[in-house]
Amino acid sequence: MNIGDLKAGAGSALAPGVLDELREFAFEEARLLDAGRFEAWVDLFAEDGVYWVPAEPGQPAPEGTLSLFHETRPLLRLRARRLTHPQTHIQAPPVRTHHHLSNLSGSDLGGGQYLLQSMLLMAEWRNGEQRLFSAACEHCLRRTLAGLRIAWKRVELLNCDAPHRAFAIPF
Amino acid sequence: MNAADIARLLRPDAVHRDVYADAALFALEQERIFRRAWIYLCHESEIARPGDHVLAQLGPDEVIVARAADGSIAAMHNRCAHRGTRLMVAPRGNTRLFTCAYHAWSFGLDGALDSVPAPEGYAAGFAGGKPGPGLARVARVASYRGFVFGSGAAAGPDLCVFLGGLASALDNMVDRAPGGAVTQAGGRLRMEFRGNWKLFMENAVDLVHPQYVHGGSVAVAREARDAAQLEGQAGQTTQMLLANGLRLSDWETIGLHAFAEGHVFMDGFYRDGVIASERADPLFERYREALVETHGETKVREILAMDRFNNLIWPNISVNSRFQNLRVVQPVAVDRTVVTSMCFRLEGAPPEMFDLSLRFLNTASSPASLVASDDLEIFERCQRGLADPAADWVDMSRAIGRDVPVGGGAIDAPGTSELPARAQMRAWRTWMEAESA
Repeated sequence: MNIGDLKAGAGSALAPGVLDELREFAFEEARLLDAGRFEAWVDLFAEDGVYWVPAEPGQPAPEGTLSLFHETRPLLRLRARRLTHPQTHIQAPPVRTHHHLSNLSGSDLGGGQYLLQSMLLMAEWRNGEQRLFSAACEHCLRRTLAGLRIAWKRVELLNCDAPHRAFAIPF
Repeated sequence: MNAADIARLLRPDAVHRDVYADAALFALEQERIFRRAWIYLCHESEIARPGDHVLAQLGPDEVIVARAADGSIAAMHNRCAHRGTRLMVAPRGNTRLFTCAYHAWSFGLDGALDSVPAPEGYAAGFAGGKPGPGLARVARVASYRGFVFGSGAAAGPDLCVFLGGLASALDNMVDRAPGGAVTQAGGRLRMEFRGNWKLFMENAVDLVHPQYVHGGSVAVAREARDAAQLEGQAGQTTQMLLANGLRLSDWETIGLHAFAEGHVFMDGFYRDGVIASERADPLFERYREALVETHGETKVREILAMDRFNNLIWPNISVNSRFQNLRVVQPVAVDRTVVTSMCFRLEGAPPEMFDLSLRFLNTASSPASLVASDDLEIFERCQRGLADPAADWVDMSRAIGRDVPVGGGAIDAPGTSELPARAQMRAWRTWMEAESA
């Protein structure tokens, strides 16, 4: 399923145990980001995976519009490597984060794909200042031979259309 | 402050740190620059139909820019003429009247008072089409090729004179549209930094910083360049990062050009792949054919040959004609700035051309940008250092002996010169020294 194809209320109820599996996946993703294991985070995306943080609320699809982040896996890989490169000034000193997930619910989209919805609070400590971001997240997760992978992830920040100071760590 | 006080802040080769760090001087800039000079408000495509209106900043003041029934454009301060209430709160809309939420005074699209409740309480002829207390109008509003500017000063150079040699940047963007017009589209990106607005404007044409500030991004892009990653949007972003990896001797060959009005542009440095200025891919060929149909081959060659990166229209906008972008630098406080970036669609061009424009800004102008995020970090470090009075002077002397006058007060310089910063400060001095408009 492409990122713009999701209809409200899409999917059917998850089989028993699947929500636990999806939730564990998302918690592990959060742990990787907080631990600074950015390349391992990128590995959670499918080959054709997309990471999208819209710049305005309610946007159904990233095409035709500006975005805070709109990246496919090759670019995410580049971003991840940059975050540990010594000449990346925004990471001096390294930014620390806590990704908190709550309000998790899921549905079965068929064809081995699941939708996981959650609320995210990301606390960020950067250069002597703390920022707090609140967001509604959607993960489209796909079952592959290697396990669950992110087909796409959409993060809508509560204040996505506000002016923001530089972002370092993804949401 | 009088002219002599301003002059004491500047040397030919350096600027006093107060210019970036002093709050009183910032307030004076708002008066003498942002309430007088021509400031970009919006694009005509945002207010295409009668009744369309947007909110915009004219320096420190919020204004409503509206399209009247007769097609004319007016700009009014966003405060009710009655009690001063902020009148409109939505960033855009369509209406026949601007009605205040407090006591329902209503104003027409030109700002004239239309009606008040309980009019019998006022003197005869107070409202109802008679000259009455309307909204405060922006002294001058003018449009150049669809780009709408306002000036808070009733007198002064007209917009064309003000734009001077850099009207060419707006011309070139519009000329690139086979349909003869551009449309603002795709939303906006907003970045903020805790630093003075001039840091952004100076950095936009500083060609020594890229290899140091963007070194991390260049390095990881070089590692990735051989992989199959140079397709589509990832390809464009990677090419843009690689382009920042020129050596100092290469940057030296990029021309810098400054005008007497304080406007500056730098020549292009995108040479390869999908970001090259003329290229052979099928999309670009379709686009080129459409453009030739409009302008003819000779003019098209001329239009496409204008390969510039940032065109800075003083005091606060940056135009990229090739990728149809505009960035507006809004001073919020002496140490706080918001940069709003937007794209323009080329009417009559293949729709995919707009993807290049969007991808350019996503790469260059998001707070998450692999390029700009490091610039923002450096601006904040500059501001912190400049707050320290340990030293007074900020050096901008690089290549000061290598200016090449080219007539009319315009100057050319090699790529690593600090000419752009000096030219901007010269304009700053001119406007700041004038105690009245």
